[in-house]
Amino acid sequence: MASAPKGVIYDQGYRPYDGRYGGRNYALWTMVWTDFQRAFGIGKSWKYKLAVGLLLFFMFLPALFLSFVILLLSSNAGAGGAFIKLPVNELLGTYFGWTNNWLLFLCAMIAADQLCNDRRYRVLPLYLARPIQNYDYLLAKSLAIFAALAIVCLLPSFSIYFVKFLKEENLGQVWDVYAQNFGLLLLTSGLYAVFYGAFAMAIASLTTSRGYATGGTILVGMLSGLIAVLLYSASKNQYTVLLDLSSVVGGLKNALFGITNSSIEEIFSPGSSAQTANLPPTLDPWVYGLVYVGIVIACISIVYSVYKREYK
Amino acid sequence: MNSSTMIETQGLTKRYGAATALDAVTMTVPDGSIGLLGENGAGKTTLIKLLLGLLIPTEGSARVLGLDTSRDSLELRRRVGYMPEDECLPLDVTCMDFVTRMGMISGLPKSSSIQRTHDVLHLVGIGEERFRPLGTYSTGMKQKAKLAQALVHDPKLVLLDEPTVGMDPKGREEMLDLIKDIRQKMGLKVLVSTHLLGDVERICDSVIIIRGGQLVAQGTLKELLGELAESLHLRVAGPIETFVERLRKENLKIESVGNQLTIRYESDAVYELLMKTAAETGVQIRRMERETLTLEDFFVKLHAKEETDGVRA
Repeated sequence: MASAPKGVIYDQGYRPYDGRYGGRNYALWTMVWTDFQRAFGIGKSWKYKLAVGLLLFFMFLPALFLSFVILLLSSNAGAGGAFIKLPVNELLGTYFGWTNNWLLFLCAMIAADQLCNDRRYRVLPLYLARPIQNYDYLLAKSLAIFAALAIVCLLPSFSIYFVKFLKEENLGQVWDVYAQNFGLLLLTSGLYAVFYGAFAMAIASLTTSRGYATGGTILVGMLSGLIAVLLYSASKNQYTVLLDLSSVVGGLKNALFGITNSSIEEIFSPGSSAQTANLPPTLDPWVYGLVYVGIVIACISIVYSVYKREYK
Repeated sequence: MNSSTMIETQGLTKRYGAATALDAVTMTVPDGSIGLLGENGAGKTTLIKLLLGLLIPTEGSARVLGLDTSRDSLELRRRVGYMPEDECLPLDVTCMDFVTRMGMISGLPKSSSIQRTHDVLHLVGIGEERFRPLGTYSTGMKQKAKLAQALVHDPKLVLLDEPTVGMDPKGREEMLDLIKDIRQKMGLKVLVSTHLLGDVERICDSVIIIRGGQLVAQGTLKELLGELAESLHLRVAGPIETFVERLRKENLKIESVGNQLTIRYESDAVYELLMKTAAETGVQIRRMERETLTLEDFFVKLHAKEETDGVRA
């Protein structure tokens, strides 16, 4: 029997694929997962990774500090010490106020990266030639952006809970005290993610330049606050607060948490350090809700109409 | 639609407002390597998008690989690979990541998609460069990457829109060889849309020609070039009229301009007949050249015919 010659590389030729194919849902979740990973810099340049990393660091910084305080307080209480109840609503409500500023930067970066490049490089035809429906692409992008932002909103607050859980011996007691806040936390994170995600996507869909999209989102977000302050100073119309994007979602959040400390209202507050403007009476929660829904629908409509043109 | 039919359309029409991009195209395209020819704006890309189910026809219907393009568009796109004409690659992503992702969106599990990405990139001739961002690629390599993403999910048919556009002669040769391999070694069906007649002649068995959104010709190259496929050009001296008359009596088709004759070539027997007739009539054949007509000649004749028809109308 002749032995096979050694050191020969055999060209097996083209091998057809005979395995199974995933359906439309598989394709959709593949897109969501890869876009979600890219939102956090996986598979991206070191510059993007650095920028996202810095933003996340600033968002997490107070949570790290608070976790340290909790650990310290728990240590001082000693073993078997009294259960220390955190002022959760105030704490988390304030935390979302802090997150809000950084979230604007983060959503601007993520949405610009997710939407602008594909349109700039005209990659859409390659996606559309795959076994997906026309709007699955946009749906996947939206879900990835919303999920990334929601997680970023949720994790700092959640980490505070987590440390609290770790330090308490009676977990049941902790759960009883804080359980209701978990739902609130999830809901608020979702509200922030959808609001800022839709807003940033709308701006990003208007240009193919990542720089313009990022800058535009931040500029519009910040200018909205400034315009609201100026108009309120001039007119004393309480509804001018609705021109500030952060006040709309902040107002809704405050209504949910039962507190009033959005950034714009702090400026207006007679009890605040500025003490230059009168605090406009807090609007009814349904007003914030209505404006919130209106803005989100308007943003989604802008994105939809831009992509409708792209699909033709 | 029988098993050897790749594409079948019935009155396929696409209108954008008042403009008609494709006008009642009815055709049956057999399996093989097919060239879709037409000038810029003839409706080639519209036809491809309709065949992929990306556009909904205004009127008529189309079936590709036995699937209705409107009803079964998702299943169809799983079985078809598409390489667009335009630059369409994300320049900030590595070729490996991009092709793998495209494979997964087509339904391949991640491990299989990675495996097949390596296979097809090897096949198209992209080596270690596959780990570099696509923005660093030359035009030729980008075309290969576009071809790789069209092949990664193991389609049964690949639609290639201007696959050699912008490539240098060497790159063009490589791409045409690759397309030949796709048909011959991989056994895939191929539809190549192009305005380069030379490309079609090299890689296609048959041709579809559209102009102004209408189907103007369809068939194998031999059928299209038909009786004009080959001819003999002669320069003669002597009693030309007698010579031509004798040849016409032998049922040869001849066009004569002065001492230049063009004779339809049917078989080698025509040489013997020419020599014999020339000897009998005292004509000297001073030059004889056999010419094979190309698609370019076909197009020139098509243009000339249309212009003549236009003048008559």
